[in-house]
Amino acid sequence: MIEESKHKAEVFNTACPRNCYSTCSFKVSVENGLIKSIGPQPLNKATEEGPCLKGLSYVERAHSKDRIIHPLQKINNEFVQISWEKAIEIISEKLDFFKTNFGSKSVLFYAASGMSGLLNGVSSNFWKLYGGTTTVYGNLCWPAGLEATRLSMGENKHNIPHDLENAKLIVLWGKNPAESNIHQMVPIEKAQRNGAKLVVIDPRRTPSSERADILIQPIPGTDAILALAIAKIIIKNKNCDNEFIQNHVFGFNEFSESLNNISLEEASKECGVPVHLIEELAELIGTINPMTLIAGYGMQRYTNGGQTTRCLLALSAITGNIGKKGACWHYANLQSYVFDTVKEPVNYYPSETDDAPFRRSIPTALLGEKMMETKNPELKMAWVERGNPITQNPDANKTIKAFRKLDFVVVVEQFMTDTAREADIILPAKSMFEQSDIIGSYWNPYVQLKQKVIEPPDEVKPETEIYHILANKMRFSQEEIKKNIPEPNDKAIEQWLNKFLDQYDELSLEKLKEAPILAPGLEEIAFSDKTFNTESGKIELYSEKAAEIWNVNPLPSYEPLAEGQRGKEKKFPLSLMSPNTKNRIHSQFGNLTCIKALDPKPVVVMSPVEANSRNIANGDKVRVYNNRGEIFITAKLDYSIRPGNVVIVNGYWNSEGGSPNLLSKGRETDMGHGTAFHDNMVELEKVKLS
Amino acid sequence: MSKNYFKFDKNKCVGCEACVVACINENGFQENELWRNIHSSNPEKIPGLPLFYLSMSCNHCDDAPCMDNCPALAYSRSPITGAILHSPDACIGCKYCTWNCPYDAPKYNPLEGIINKCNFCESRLLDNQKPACASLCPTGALDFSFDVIDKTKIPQSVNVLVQTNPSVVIKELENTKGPRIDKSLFEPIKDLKPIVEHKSKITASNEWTLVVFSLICAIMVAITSLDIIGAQDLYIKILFIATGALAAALSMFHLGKPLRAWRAMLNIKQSWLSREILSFSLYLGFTFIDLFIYNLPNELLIFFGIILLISIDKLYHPAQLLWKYKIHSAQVLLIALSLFLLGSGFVWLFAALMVLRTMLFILINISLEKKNMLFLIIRILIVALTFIFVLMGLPIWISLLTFILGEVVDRIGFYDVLEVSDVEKHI
Repeated sequence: MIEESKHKAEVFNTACPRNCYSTCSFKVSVENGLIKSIGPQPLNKATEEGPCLKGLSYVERAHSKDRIIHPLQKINNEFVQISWEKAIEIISEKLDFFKTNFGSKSVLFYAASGMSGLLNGVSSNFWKLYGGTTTVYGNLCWPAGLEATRLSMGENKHNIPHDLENAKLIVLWGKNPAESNIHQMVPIEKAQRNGAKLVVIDPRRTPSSERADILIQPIPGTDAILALAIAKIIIKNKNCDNEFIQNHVFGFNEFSESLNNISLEEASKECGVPVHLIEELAELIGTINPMTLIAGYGMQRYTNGGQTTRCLLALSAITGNIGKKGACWHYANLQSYVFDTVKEPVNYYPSETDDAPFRRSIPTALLGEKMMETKNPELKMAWVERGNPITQNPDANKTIKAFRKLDFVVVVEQFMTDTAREADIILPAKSMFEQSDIIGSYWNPYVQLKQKVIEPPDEVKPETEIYHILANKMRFSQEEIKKNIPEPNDKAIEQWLNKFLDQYDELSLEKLKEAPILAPGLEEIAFSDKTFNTESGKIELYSEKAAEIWNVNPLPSYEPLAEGQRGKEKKFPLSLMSPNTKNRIHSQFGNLTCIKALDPKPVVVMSPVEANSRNIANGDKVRVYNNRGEIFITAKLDYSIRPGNVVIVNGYWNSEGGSPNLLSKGRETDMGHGTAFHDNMVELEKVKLS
Repeated sequence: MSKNYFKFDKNKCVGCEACVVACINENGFQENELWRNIHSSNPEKIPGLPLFYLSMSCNHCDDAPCMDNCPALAYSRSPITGAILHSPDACIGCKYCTWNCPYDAPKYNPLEGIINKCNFCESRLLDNQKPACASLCPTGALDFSFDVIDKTKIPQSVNVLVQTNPSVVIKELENTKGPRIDKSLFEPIKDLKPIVEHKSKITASNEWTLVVFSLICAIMVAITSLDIIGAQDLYIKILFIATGALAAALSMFHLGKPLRAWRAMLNIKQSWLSREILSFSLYLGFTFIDLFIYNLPNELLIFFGIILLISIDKLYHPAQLLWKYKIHSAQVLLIALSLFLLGSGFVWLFAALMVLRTMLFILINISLEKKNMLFLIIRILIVALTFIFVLMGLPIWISLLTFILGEVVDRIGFYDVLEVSDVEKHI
């Protein structure tokens, strides 16, 4: 509803570059260099009604009084404003010093998912010119599921978002789109109106489950055994799609035989779902076609995440719910990442050779621990951009220790995050409105332009410009600079982006300024040609490769969790869930006034079952703790969470008193170098007011 | 007649609060109380009960109780858009509109001492744009239209206690059962009931100034009716009028904007609050003249006194809508009458009235959700004591003091069971 006429406001199309399913297109109205309002861009069919509350909060965020707008240096534990010249001088001297004395790999380059875009490649280019650095491998989010899907189907893609309307059965398994992907609720509602059934499987009663026909609340980390039990019943009841299996599934007989080892009663006991409900699920999944099975990203952040994903995917495979209208395995849709030569998760695996420019030797899952253990050379310095590892990586106490052990830390940031507080120098980071870039989405099928619509405020410089200045200061060869780092002006940036866009006739900056463009080569119904890029050319339930690369069972199997097993550790009997909330993308947005008004302080959610036995009342201050750390936080009682579990949503900063990563352990997932930081047991007690 | 109105679909809203941020973007950050709120029908997610959300702000009612009851005429209706607009410059911060609005739309800001509220994004409407909230709902649950409302659909929409012809049409929940859940998960807990008790917006401790003001009024008017002050010495007269002045000061500083207190009398036509303030001023003013300047007929003072007491009792009506019986033993008229009977020596009539009032107290307490047994016991004890003292022939001031103590208890009990219509509770 933004109209230009009245206020002389200019309206631009842009897209949200956050690490989020929706990746909304939206219109932004600019007046006198200020973001005035944000409105829907109906040309993106996946997000046509407009962005979520976070997207709307950019009106505040772009010009927040809390933004870092000057280079800052920590002197005597206080940050003081310094000039760019001084900041660049200090940093370049340090970089020279560390390279000369310890080798360039004594520097850790750490970038996370804070802002997506092709220009992020410039950072790597700079560090390559520097001589390479140490960096991390793996990812905090989704690799276990990506790798499981890749090994099973060859690649990660699914049907376009609004194909969901064609489904007759929708299974939201561990996904809560009402908070993490609100635009998916629209086709879900339409499908339901067309008679589709909605099943939600989640230990929590989430806003996404309120309109569901049935909500199943299993014990966290046991989804695999639940899926296998369902598969067993489907096969027993002869509800498989035999023709599909015959032609497109590899290893069905082995899979089917392996289910003989599973007893329904034991499975029911393990996952905490009564047998009759498992049977009901099997009836729904086995008999309703087409089914879209939507698996979330939370349950694959357990130690058994990859195998769990394979078990769930098997349900789509044996019922033939792949490659059809209304039917898909809905995990990640990487079709719009048309410029990636190697797609996730493979592109962030550890270096295979020692002579690679980057020493990818630190699993991000064990960041703090492995930073401290790194030798030859030891780490002396870290450069952090687009990330807030102290809040978001597991075992925050170790991460803090590792950062404090370094001689020098540079953080490029918009706000005073937990990580920025650990910096020696903070460089002000651009907002999404201050530099153009091209972004894809892992849910919607569009290539989009995130457009520059205002100048960076005060002394803020985009990272590409920071690197350009630094490269010159460090006297890298002009030829290399020219090849690797764009000049710090809008035209050079556009030329840089055009180099990518020129690969496709469909894409150009001019067109993208008007509207998002469907990814070249897009398959609206993924795998409709039944071509699977696996060794057998089929969906591999039996995967030799999975066994070979990850040393797991070649068949989908249930592996009990490393930590989260009931009764194993008596001191810490509750499993801690740390899901995402609608109010944040990881640790972003929570600091804004308009978000704080809705979500003022961190809480731990528990059922009255837990509260009563610990004499805790709603609103009490409690201590949540385990061997790794403790959090003092307010208790919130409701019936949303399966007893035996407590919830602290992730993203709160330590400085706000509640990052659940103070309690989480760094572990890698069973495959894909993901981070199994959802597998944590805790105890809680009422804090006695003295 | 066609009008502007919100459209809301309970089946589509997932409580994402984008509408709330859209409102902030459009109207600026709203300190303390946001203009638009998402209410949950089942905030504690009690298994077996459905949960739906309601995105609510001002519904710009055809019969707007905020406007009708505002003593300071701070509300008006926009002739073009139909928006109920509130003027911050005219507001005295009495909060009476928050008692009258069934949708919780007027928001009191203690920092500014005034009410703020949704203005329907009037400037957008004039610009042919939908209100910001309705134009930015990601699921399409909240929308806006200009049309004729089918009024038969409104009353069931929200379970409010006052029918106001709101400019909102709500699509009801189709699946009214909520998701099927394995309730046995919560087995150790036998009764899956609400965890946190709903708090009424009005409590005696928050509104102690009103408790004191109303009691002073009742006692003063009773004393006026007994016609005994005129014969007393100067000090008693000064004490009497000073008590009235104290009541005036208390009621004034209870306002967010005490300096604008005079505006409270502007809506004599409709607002019982205006009538209360005016009759109080006249009663106190004439009493002052009578005592210190020129002897006036006592009937005149009694007349304004009774109007004052009627106004006080009437203005609490919006907070009594939930009561089965709309009368309370601590209505100021009854307090004054009791004191009058006691003072006039009609001991048995007094006794009969007190018995009647005590029964009323019991009745109200039984009929309400909120029961206060302690209050009941104290109340009965004090009434009994008053009798005993009177019958024992102890000095009258002992009986009077005991009686007044009993009235304080009764009046506090009255405030504790007041409850205004509240979306959060009656969703």
